Amino acid sequence: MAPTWFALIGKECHEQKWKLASLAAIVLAVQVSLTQTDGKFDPFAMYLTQALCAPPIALFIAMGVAAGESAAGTLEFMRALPIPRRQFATVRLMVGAATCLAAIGLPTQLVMWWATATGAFDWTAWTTTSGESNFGLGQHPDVVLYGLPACFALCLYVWAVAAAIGQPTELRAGLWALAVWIVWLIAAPASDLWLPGWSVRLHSLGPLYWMGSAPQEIALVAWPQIFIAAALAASSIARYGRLARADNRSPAEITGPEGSAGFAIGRACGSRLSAMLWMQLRQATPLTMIGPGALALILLMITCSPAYGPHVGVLELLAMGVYISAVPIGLLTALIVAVGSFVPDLQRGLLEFWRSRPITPTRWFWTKYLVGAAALAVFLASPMLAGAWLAGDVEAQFVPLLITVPWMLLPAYSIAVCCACMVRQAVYAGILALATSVGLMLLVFRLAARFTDLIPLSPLHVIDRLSYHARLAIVAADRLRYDDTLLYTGFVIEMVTVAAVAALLAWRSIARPTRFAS
Amino acid sequence: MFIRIEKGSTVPISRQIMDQIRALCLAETLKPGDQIPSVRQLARELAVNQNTILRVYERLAGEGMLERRHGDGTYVAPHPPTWRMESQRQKFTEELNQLVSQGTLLGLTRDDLHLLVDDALDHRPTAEQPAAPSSVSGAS
Amino acid sequence: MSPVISLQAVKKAFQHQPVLKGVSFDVLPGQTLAFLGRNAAGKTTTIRMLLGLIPPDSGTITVLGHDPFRQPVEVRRRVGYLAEDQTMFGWMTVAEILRFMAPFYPTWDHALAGEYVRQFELPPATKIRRLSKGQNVRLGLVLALAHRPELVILDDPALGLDPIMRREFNRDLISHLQGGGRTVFYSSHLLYEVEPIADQIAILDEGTIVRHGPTEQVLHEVKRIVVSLAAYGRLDENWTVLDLRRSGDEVALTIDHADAAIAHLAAHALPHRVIDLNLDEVFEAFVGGNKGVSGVARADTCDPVAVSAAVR
Repeated sequence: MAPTWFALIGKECHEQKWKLASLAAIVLAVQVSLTQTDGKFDPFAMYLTQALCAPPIALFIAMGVAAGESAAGTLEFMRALPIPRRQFATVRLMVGAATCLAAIGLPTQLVMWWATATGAFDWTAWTTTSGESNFGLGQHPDVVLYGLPACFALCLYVWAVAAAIGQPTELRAGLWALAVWIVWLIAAPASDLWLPGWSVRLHSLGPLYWMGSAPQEIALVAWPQIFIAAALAASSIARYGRLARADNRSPAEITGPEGSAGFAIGRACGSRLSAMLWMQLRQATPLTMIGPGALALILLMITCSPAYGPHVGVLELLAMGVYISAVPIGLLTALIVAVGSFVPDLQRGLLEFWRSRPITPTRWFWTKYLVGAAALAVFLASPMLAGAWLAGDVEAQFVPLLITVPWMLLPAYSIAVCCACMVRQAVYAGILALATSVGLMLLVFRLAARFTDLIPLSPLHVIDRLSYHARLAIVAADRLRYDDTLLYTGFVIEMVTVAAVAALLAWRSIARPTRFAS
Repeated sequence: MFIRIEKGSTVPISRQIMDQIRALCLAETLKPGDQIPSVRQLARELAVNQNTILRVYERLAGEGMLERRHGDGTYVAPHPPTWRMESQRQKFTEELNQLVSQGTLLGLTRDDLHLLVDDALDHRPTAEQPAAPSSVSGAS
Repeated sequence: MSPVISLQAVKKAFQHQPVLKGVSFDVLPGQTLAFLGRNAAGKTTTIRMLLGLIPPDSGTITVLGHDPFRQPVEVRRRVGYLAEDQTMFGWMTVAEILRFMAPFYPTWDHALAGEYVRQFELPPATKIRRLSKGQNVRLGLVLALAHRPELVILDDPALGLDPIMRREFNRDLISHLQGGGRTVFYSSHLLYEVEPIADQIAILDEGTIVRHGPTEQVLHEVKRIVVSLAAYGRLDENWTVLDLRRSGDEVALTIDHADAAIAHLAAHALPHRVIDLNLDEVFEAFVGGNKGVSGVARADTCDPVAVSAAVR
């Protein structure tokens, strides 16, 4: 190989190493905390953690691979180097793929070693006893614990990169990647409406196929999948680093409109508050709309899906749709709104711009923070609460979740704002925020399970308790009445406290002047 | 009033402007009693600091070359000071001396130099005299 | 007349690396000060401190009668600022950012902002991230000037302007800012552009102000004097020698406050030539001239004791 290959590989590895380290650490933490029950290692839980971790890993790495260069402004430089653009793109894509595999494979291997070495898990006993259940985990443990997650992560990664290439910033790249996954998630089941029998076929060709399929099924579509992934990778490589859209301006945009009539600049904002409101709403609202948009799509999918016959009421369907998507979509939207509206303003150049204007960082931060939170409340939390209210008559189990999730949005949003203010880099802030939010939820839950005399305030626990009350209410054929107000109040106080602490930390990091050191 | 500023020259900007205005006055391109642009106008036109222009005008007024009338503007003084003419003449003599010595270094003889001076004198009036004043007054 | 900007023995270090080592200067109302220095000389650090973005390690800074770090909003309202390579909200259009910034300044003149947009040929409906580099600088200028600030601080404003626009900008600076009696503090690399505009220049080098004075006075006082090597050996005055070069048996000294030196040479009937310098050469002598000293000191024909006496 020519030395240019080594140089390029070295550069890419250097860019990915911290991403790999942080992602692997998070996966390891999730796996360690979720794969043991009562001192025993549970391989199926392991499989589930991989399914849980693969999409964010693929997303974060794909964001960096597709848009990292243009976001950092180094794309022009790379384009000017005397090497073929495709060589550079190939190396970038490949090293990204390797990072994806390593981020999920290394922690898995570590946990497996540890489980085997400490005797928490007996491999042979498991293989002989568990038979056909759990996706063939008993028969093909290596395929299920290593092969499937690897294929899943790679497939998601390739699709994400193909969707995100050409975007100017990492955030936009991430949104495009997410959009393609979600569209596939919806399109495959919905296709049954027009093309009966196609939903499985479409799903088997899409990016989300690998987890949840038995090894025998997978063998059937392996070749089409490989073919599609190769085609997507080739198209990504071909499109990488093409002239950005900003360069294709029309002459009118460069020279400006002729005649003095075109120079109207409109009326000035009335006050500083209204100016800040306008700015943050413009920044946060499109991002916030992702949540309701995704919810609406999922509802559409469920309502259209033939799996649910006419005997299921529309209200129930709506409630169920919100129910199954509330936590992931809620968390993700809160994260995107926080990172998307804070990180750009904290980049070196823009930070210096607004810091040198007559506004205090305190006022800037709190206006922005509160407007973002309000946008989430209006566009995301209120549909959920409305769903809970509608579902109250139909499916009482849904209600607790729909009541608790809106409250969980606030700490998730605050934590993400905090991460954005401290890290100031979209991909890392996203990773850190997701890890902190999920980690906090899981940690409190596990601690509560271990020390039952502590007041268990984990969201999961609260949902559990409230669901229990809801079931009691159904048994009693009564309208819902929750008398566990102490628990519920405690939960709300906990959520608001976490949010407040995170927001204060974020504010402190913004208000410090020393960040300007050149 | 045409003034050209050479940027990056070793001659300070104010001296460049002062010399050119003085030359225009002495050549009677600017005639006694003519109004010249205000400090603001000239500063904007030349893209030169107003204080610099102000200094130039004050210095020239001090020499008696210009006349500043309060609230009315700046005019070329009716009687350009003759002692100024003396000093200009002296400066010219110095420059001519330098030219002559340069010419001698190039190997020009006394006769050659005489011929060149005669040539220059012959060509001067027809080429320059009629065109200059009209274009100059139009510019300011 | 109290100064608009006043720095007293300002020091600043980043990670124990001193950037400013005791900077002091004043700018009086109505003055235009050009702040000159090489890259990384500490210009941007000084400007950031004037706006209260970073605090000085020691020393005092007063801008318009306030401490910019303690009362940043008060100072920034009355100051127009254009940063070097200024980044603005890329997703806003030109018109939107003007509407957005307007309420932050009590003295904002929206009609003037519109007038500048027309004059600078800015397309109001275009998103900022689509503007060219020059348009970006001009938009930054609109934002810095539209509130009719008492003090304008510009960090290399001419950088993105083509020669025609630069001239227009200089004219505007003269009519609108100098004509309006405002104080202008600007840094620049384009010395030819600075010379006609600035009342005062201050040269910053390695964290200290090496020269500060009226532009033409500085130009007048710094001269290059060429003397023979023999005559050079007999000099023993304490002159401020900025640059020292040797060519054959001649030595060229660039000297600050040269009048006294010339008078001295004349008094001792030492043969010498005096060469006028332009701003470029003066600047170079102040910020990069010291290297020449050792070159001559090594010269074997030259008495080292005399050289060191002459140099400082």
